Amino acid sequence: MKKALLIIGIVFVVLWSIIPIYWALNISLMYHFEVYSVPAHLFPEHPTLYNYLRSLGFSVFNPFTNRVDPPVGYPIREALINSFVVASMVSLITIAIATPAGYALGRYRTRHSGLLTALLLGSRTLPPVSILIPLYIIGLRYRLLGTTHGITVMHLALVLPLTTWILMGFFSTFPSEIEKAARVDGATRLQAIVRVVIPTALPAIVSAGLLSFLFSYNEYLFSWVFTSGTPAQTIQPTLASMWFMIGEINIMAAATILSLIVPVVISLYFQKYIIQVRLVDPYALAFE
Amino acid sequence: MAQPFPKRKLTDERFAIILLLPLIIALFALNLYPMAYSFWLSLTNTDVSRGISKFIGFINYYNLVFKDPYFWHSLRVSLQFTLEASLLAVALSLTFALILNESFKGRRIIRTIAILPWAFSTYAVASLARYLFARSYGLFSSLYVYLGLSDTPVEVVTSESAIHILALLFAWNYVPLGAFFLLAQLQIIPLDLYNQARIDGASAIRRLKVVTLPFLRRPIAIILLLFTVFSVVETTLIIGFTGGGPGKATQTLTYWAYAKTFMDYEYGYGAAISWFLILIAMALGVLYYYVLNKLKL
Repeated sequence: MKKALLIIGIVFVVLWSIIPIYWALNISLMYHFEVYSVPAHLFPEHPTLYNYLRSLGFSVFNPFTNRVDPPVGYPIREALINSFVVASMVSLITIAIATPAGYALGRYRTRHSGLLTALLLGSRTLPPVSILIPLYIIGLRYRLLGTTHGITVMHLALVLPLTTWILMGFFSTFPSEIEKAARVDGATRLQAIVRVVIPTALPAIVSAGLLSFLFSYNEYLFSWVFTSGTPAQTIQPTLASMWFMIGEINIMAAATILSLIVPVVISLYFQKYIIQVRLVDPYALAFE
Repeated sequence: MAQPFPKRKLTDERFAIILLLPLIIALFALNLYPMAYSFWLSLTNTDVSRGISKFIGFINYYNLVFKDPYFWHSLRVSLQFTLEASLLAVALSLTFALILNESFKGRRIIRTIAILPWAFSTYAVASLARYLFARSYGLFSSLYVYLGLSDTPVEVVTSESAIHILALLFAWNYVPLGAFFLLAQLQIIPLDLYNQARIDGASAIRRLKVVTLPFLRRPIAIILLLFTVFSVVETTLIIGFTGGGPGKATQTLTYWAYAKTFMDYEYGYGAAISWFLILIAMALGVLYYYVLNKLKL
């Protein structure tokens, strides 16, 4: 009885997690004529990488129309590269600011740390829409729209409170003995941090950096408002503009699946990490 | 001779402030200043399409609450979405955590699969859902045909069903987070307690109620609040899946603030709507902080 329930449960978990991904994958492997079959085909009859190759900028021969079709007119490759550049800059800058700040908040109780913690939590709870409106106007004024550095700055606004919060949690449980030993041996505070604390905390810092990377890569709202229709366009707004303009939804499906490769790889890394839990606060792991 | 500039001792306090300085500057420039600016904007009638921008005091707020029927409509939609989405996400998180905590062959692989939706962008979730629920090429509309319930594919997303489907999608995106958080909590429950309960002859359901759930009360409260905050401010999912439709059926407060600003170009009014959101989110944030730090659940 219990075993049967468990099996039903496992099947449910797998189907629940897989079906939405499977369905887009299914359509992404079809030629255009098959997409509109009634009822919809559960498996592609003529599985092909045609959509993927065209999305990535290749001309592909279509055996059903006997034509060579040109690459799709959407800068998907460029958008993936843009996303990669922006996300890398966001995670590097975030780590550079959030590591010392998280350390200071986690290690020292100063007069203002309560206020700052509240400010961080407040920033994290802030509805993205409500800072999007003023930041958009500020962006217009300072010519940040349509630029890679502009969207990087906007993502910093969203990611910094989150990452500082994670690292603060980490450093508050981080044993201070090794650091004290280094201080006794004559190291200054800064030397103790650079030589002892950072090397020991490196796995946590790298994880926090990866999370900021994923956050930036996945962010849609600011990316759409700041980069859509410009050379700086990142991958999420590209998917959105394809949906509005493209007739071939099988190509759009391939682009969507391509955009999921980065998240899948990162989640494989975090599967281990999440179970060995360091992150007591689920707040830290949620994405917009 | 006395030193003209005595070197001041670097206290812990000063050292901490130096480390915090970049963050403080960034928070002021990127969060606090925009918020202040947004508040000022909400006191004006700024409308870019009509090219006007004048200080009008609290008129926007007054109009919102007393004149605009869409305000109450959006508030009701937001409330319904938040309730459905967060309760569903919590219930499924708990279910998934209990399943993934059992030991069975292939558990690692199943966990790896179950975590996937967590890493996907909300926009990608909306995209995947559009394929799943589309009328002509969607899985669900064609299932009606496969199951013999209809001759032609059925429109699944209607003005009645859309809000429930959005709640389902929210749950799909956030359940892994909740499930893995609860899973971590399950793993710190001492096994002795289960063995003792078993010796006392407690059934599986009784063990769940007496041993497991008391340990999960606080974590469940945490994820419930968390999901509430996230569903209140959820915008991308609605933009990507329904665009507030069909009609205005899924127009939540967040979506409305977005549409007013970026489609109607009424910046002032949009900012005023967003301030209602900020107040709701702040209240939930305070509640969250309280539950996390003060409440002994």
